[in-house]
Amino acid sequence: MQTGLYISSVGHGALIIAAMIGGIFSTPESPPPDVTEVTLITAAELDAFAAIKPDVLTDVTPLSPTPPPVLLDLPEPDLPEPPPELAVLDAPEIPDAVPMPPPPPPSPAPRIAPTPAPAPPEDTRPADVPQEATRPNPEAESVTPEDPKEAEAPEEAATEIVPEGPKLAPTTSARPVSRPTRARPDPEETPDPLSTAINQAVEEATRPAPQPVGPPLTRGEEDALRVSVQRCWNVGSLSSEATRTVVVVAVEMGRDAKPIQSSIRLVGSEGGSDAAVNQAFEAARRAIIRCGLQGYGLPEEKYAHWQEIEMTFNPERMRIR
Amino acid sequence: MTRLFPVIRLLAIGFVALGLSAPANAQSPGPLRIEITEGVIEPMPVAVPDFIAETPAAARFARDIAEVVRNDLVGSGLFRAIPSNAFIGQISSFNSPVQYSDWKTINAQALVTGSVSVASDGKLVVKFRLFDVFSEAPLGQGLQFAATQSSWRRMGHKVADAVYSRITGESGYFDSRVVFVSESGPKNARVKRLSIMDYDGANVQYLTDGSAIVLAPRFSPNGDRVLYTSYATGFPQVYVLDVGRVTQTALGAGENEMTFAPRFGPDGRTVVYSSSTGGNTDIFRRPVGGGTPVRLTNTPAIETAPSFSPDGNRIVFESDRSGTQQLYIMSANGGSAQRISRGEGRYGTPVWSPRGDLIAFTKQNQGRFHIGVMRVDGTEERLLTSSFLDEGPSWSPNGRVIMFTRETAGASGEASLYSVDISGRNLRRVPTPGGGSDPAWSPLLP
Repeated sequence: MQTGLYISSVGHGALIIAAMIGGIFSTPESPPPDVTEVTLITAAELDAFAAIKPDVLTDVTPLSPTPPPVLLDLPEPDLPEPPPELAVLDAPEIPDAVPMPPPPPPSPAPRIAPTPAPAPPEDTRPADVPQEATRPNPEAESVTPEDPKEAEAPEEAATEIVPEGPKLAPTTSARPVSRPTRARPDPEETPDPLSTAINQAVEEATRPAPQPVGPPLTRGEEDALRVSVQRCWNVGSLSSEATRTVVVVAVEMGRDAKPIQSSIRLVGSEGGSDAAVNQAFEAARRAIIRCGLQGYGLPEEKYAHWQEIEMTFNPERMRIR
Repeated sequence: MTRLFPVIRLLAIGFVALGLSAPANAQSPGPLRIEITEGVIEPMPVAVPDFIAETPAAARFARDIAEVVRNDLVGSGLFRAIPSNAFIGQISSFNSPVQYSDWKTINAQALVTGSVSVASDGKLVVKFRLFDVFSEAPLGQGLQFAATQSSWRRMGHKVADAVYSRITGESGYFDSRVVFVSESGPKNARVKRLSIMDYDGANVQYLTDGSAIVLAPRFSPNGDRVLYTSYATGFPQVYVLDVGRVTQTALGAGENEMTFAPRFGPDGRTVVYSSSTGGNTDIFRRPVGGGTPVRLTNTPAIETAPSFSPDGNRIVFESDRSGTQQLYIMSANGGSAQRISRGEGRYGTPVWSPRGDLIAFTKQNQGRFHIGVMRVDGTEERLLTSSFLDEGPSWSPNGRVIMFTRETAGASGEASLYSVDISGRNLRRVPTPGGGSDPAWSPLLP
């Protein structure tokens, strides 16, 4: 019972001490007031300020409405030296451009040796391990006498080629029987649809398939591809005619979903001259290559579906009319 | 039984088709076909490193010519020059093979390399090649130009024209000039001089001394002469100026006849112009070398600003015969005219495109001036600009860009030259010393 009294007394005492020392109940300090420094001046100085007139225009003089025209001595006009400066237009100084040879192809890998190795002598094969030339062994000079042999007759020969095998083939044969004449089908007769369908289906079914095929690309995957190419299809530098030209470009893709540059080809076009078609194709090719540098992110399990892509570039909505 | 036989046959066909052809289709799906209809319209990134100086005397030209090429391409709005500090690869020799990977990394789609040398006869020799970086192949043949050293800017323009042409499929317009009216002095006492400059504002030269007001200069088809209107006699009168010799002759006019708004025909031997006598203005045609004028219009309305079609068979002009200023097309021999402008507002200063497919014009509507283009039949009208005062369009040689006059409002307003792509993009001010108005673009220089 007294324990509680002790605890309560100690607690209250601690609270009172904290309030007195810590300033829990004191109001927070207010921010320091703004102070403006002033300078005290004397009454004489104040009178001196008041004596200065305000800067106000009280004496306004109207200006003349329009100044009289003044004839100025203009400097001599900077006329061009007739022949040298402007003769450019008369006599073209720049002749027709001279076509230049094509640039050199990129150099191959650097050679290891600055000069080519001398050609090996004839009939000498390079070996992994160099070998010295063999020298005649003087001890091997002694000739070992061979065993005496009996005299042999030369192989028998004939004056004409005679087959060695048994004569199985007949010397004569009957003429082959001529092909029996077939009854010509009646041109009015239609082929049997059942057999035709079966033949076609079997023919297609037996055609070798390149690889197994997964499900086709989803609409979202196709849209992602389309958007990827669109980001790089810049028609801003195309001629007006090229922006009225539709081109169909085929491209083969690697499994890494990167376009194979050498496979990009024009497969069709609509509208525009040959030059315009070429410009439109170049822009399309740049788009395919540029945005395909890192791959188009297509699902590899569906490779058979996007191994070949035909893209139709239609600038109708982009063209400058 | 005989009735059942066809049914059995059909079932058999269906079974075979389903059973055999289905797996076949699954194993040869054919190419994936997609259609691309949305692209981007943005400047093509191109790298133009400073050209290689093959002789010490060519060092300055090598740097400056490359700068001209860069400025031309960027100024067209179709290209973006990659800054040289972004280059990974360096072109140390004109004939060294290109490391395409270095240029792919900085996304350069085209690469222009070149070299400059000074030949023993003092001529400047410029070579260049253009590469399609992502195709890893040259784009066309390399070219070589030779000219006097004073023509170094033209050689830069030539290179830029070739690059522009190979990439866009259109001819360029950089190696060309503009004749215009240079304006100086206060607005109420403005001195106007006939001037000529490179298309980009360089090499300005004055053709008249400013003693008389001059207006509306127009180049001949091959750029050797300029037609313009001068008030030298107090009356507006058409003059022909030989650009090479800087000599001028009056076209000839009757007593009290005012002639103005001249323009060459495509053959360079015919000129159409407006003539005003007795308060009536009509359009006439006559040989440049002199001859009897042929009246092409005959109405009490004001008819002016004629412009030939590129084939010379038709003329577009402005007339207020309907009560307001509108555009009409008639035969080059005159006769009935067909109105082609049908929008709101007033139309004037029509100019036929060098391609023949568009007509540029000035339009005033609701207190604003516009430069616009429309088809020859008046359809597909598009306004390219809008300001306090835009007027006087002139086509670039390739029909892709229009240069015009823009004047600012107020007493201190000044006329300047501007250019805009026919798409309405790439509006740029053409630098001129002081003010400038009435630009006329030359054909491509030879």
